[in-house]
Amino acid sequence: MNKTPQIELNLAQIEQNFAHCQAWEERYRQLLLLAKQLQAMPEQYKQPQSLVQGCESEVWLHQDAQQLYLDSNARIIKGLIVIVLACYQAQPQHPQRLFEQTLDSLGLAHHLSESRNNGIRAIWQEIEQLG
Amino acid sequence: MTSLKHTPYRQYFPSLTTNNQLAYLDSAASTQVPEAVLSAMDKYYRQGHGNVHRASHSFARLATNAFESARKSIAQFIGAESQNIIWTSGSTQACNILARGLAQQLNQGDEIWISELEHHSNLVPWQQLAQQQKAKLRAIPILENGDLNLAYFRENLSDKCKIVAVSQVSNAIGSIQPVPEISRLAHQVGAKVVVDGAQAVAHLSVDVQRLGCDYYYFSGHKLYGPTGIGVLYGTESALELLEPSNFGGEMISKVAIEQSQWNSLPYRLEAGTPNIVGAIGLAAAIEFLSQFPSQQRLQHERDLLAYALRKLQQHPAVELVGQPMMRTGLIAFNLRGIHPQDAATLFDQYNVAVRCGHHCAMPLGNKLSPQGSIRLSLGLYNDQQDIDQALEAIDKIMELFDE
Repeated sequence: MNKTPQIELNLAQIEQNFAHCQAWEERYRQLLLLAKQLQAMPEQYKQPQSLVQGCESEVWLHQDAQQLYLDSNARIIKGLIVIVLACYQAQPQHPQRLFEQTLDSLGLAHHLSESRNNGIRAIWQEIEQLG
Repeated sequence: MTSLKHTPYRQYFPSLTTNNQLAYLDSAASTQVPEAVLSAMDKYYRQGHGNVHRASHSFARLATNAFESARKSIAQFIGAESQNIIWTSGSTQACNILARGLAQQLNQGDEIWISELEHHSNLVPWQQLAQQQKAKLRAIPILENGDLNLAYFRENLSDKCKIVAVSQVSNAIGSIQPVPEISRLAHQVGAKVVVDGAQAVAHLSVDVQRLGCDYYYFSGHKLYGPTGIGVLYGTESALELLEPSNFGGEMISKVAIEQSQWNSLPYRLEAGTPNIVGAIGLAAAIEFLSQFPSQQRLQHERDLLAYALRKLQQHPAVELVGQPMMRTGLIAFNLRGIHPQDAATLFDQYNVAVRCGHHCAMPLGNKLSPQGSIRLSLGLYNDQQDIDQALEAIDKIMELFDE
């Protein structure tokens, strides 16, 4: 990602956080903690036209000269957004493929419902369209 | 008096005895199906399936008898006569038959009244009809607690109103609407009254005569029956008013290339081969319910709902959405500081099936809780353990989120 990231930690650090998780509750705990790492998107960018269509909760996406902003009012999605951004940073060429592999290795893929997956797919589509 | 701890009804539902870890609290979306319904549907196909009202052979004769006797059971169940029962594929189709069939009753400037509580299926068809006939769609507003503002309706209702369409029970907050009073007011100005009974039939003893409505409809899959079957009731004169909107076999009496004549009721409104096995399944569901004294059956649910409501009210993290004077079947709430979508994901992890979102009633949601809500809804198979499991899940969710 050539713009300033909205997160401070990278993919390796995220993977480390999940390394010792056993029960699914610990994975969710980590995911909810990740959500706190996401720097808030300025309120003025949270306009109806920046809502990502196809998500069950509100997800906003906005890009200005310095930064790509993503935010949500649902905490689990926010945690996933942190992973989305970390993957984008690590591998701008094929970030979505990396994201899916990462969910698998963090032990999260199995817990996400199909409709949530569609929501995440919608976020990726919008990111791709930004070019 | 049945115990809250154990319900004698649960044993009849294979999906819940097989999966006994799951607290199924989403019956407002769809109820589970008892063994009796499954075996009636299985038996029908195994013993021989035929089309109804057509052939003279034994399979067709048996199918016709079973299908028409199902119509009779459904009629009895809601206090109607069988010639007043139209089979539909569900509530949504019933409302669409009404909205299209009543189009000729409306002129420019006429009014259709609904309420702010309506499910999209009792809103969008009327919205379309209003646009098409240049009529005006008006809504009975809700009060802060979620009850209908009947005073507003009384003051603003005029003889411009031709149709009033309300739900008997709200699918989003569970409030019971004062249908007899709404019918009385609407009839004073000469309007027809449509009642969406989708959330009511399983939880109240419904008597269409007492409600005083012209039309009443519901779906089989919220009444322990299969999906794809529903019922539209109408009084004789109200059904006579409806122009058919589905054309084809069965609904005609005489067909020439240039012109056709319509069949008599109820067949005039039932074009094509109906959902025969669905009707048989729904009749089996009603027969299943009828084996229990209805007072006892409904009391069990009322007691359980009161228990759940008390526990949720006492919980420091729970914010109730809507506090109607009278409710049945369900409770809507939010967990403080948690998006309902997050809550939904975690409830699922704790094996608690609840619904989250707008419950297909967005205008209401926008007024009471814009981000949506969590809906806990009951069926007669639920017991105290299911509620306790949901409460434990709430505690654990709060713990995860408070870190």
